[in-house]
Amino acid sequence: MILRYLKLYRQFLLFSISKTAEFRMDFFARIIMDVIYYGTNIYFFKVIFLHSSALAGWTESQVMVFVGIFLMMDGLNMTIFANNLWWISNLVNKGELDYYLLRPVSSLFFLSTREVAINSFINLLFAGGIFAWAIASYPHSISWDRYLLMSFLFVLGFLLYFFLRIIFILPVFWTHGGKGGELVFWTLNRLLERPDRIFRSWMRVVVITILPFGVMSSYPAHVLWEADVWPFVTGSVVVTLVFGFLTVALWKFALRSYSSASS
Amino acid sequence: MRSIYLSFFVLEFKKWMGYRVDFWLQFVANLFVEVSIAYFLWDSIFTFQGVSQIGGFSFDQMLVYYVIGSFVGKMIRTGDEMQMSREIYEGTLTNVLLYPLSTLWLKLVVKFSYAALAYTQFLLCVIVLPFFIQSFTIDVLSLVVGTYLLLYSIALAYLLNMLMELIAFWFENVWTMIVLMRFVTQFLGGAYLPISLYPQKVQDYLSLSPFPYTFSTPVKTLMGDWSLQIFIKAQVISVVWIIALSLLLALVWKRGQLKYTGAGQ
Repeated sequence: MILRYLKLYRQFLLFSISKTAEFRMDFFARIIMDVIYYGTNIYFFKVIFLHSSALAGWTESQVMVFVGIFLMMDGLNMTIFANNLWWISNLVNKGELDYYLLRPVSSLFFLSTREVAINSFINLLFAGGIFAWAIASYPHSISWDRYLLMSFLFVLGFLLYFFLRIIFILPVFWTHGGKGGELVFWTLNRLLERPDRIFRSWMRVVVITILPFGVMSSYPAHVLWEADVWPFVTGSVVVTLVFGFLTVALWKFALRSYSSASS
Repeated sequence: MRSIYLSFFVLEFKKWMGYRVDFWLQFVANLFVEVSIAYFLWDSIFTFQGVSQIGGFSFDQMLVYYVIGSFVGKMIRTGDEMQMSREIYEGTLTNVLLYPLSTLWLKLVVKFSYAALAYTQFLLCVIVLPFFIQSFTIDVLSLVVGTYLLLYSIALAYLLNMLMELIAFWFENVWTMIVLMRFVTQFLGGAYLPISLYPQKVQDYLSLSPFPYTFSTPVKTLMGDWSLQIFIKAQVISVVWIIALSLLLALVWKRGQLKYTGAGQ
């Protein structure tokens, strides 16, 4: 079954490449936009460190690694999911989801991955370069097992991001208008771009559990240098599993409320 | 003619009022997230550094900056940022061109109607928030002067955004350019960090650009951090940029209309 989905994804990829060739101006504009977005994020923290020697217990070099991680996460999301998830609320509102629901594959997979943003993939490479630069600038050595752990938590964080985004889109099945909670999601997305440890007390609980943006990019960074990594690993696994099951359950529940244009 | 624009203003204002749940939900979420992040970020920095002022701001002043900034940010953003480009792509701009009115002035009126709604929210919070945040007090003179400067901010933001939207006459997708302009305006305007935190040379260059006058200057004026000199400088530079950008916009609009076919994509 996995092979079947991989073959399908390969077709999506080929189609996306040919589609990208048609819109060359947008291809380059997107790259420029993301480069500027990356630059402003790096400069933001550089300015912070003109006025402070540490942020939430992290040094400047650690914060730059964190920035590299969340930019990579953004690049990966923009490459694989962003374009597709943006259209789900439109399809629901217009009743045009049928085409996707009738396919003999998971509707969530089909809707979420049918278009690959090649220009964002180029930006993902830039983000990878920023991460590599940040790691090279980090003054202490990091063992290979920590990199493996970071990669594992990065994948979990990325999946968690997808699950949360879907959950915020789902209200559109009942509100029948607007973009559900998607615009709220983009506002909350800002929580991902700040180290989790700046948040304390009730807010920390929120960003680790209910709205786990604090887990997504901060936890992969933590495991690179924290002495005890297991709280971060178990936390990431548990939260991702919970939100994964919740997303699938809510998606199935939402589809029962869906009414197509032809019904 | 003026009464027609005023009628459009009132009509659009009522239209925005119709999206009450969306409008308030987004606003509350935005305010909550912006202020929470600012609170915890700057609390962390002030506590670690053990200082009472950073970049000329105390911790309370920093929070007030972000609270007022949330409102100003909403005022300078159009309710429907992609409307013009969408009309160009769909060919529905034809309907607007048929009005016996200047399209660009009409769009400016629409922008002001949305800003008026956001300003109404702001005024409500000016009355309510001092009961919850003691440092959040705005004196009447600062409110008047800040409101006056906001008019320039909204006009500048409109011109910068519209220039990006009119690229739709030539290119198939302008979403990227509009988002890019938003980043640049917010970052260089002081929406992410007060400009006084930037290196001095950067501040000096920025003071000649339109960006601080879209955000930072009106926010600081509303906070009471202004002087006659700053007020005059803000006006002069804003007017110069408004004239320059208006001339550019007029030229782009004229050229764009020659390209426009009304056929839609």
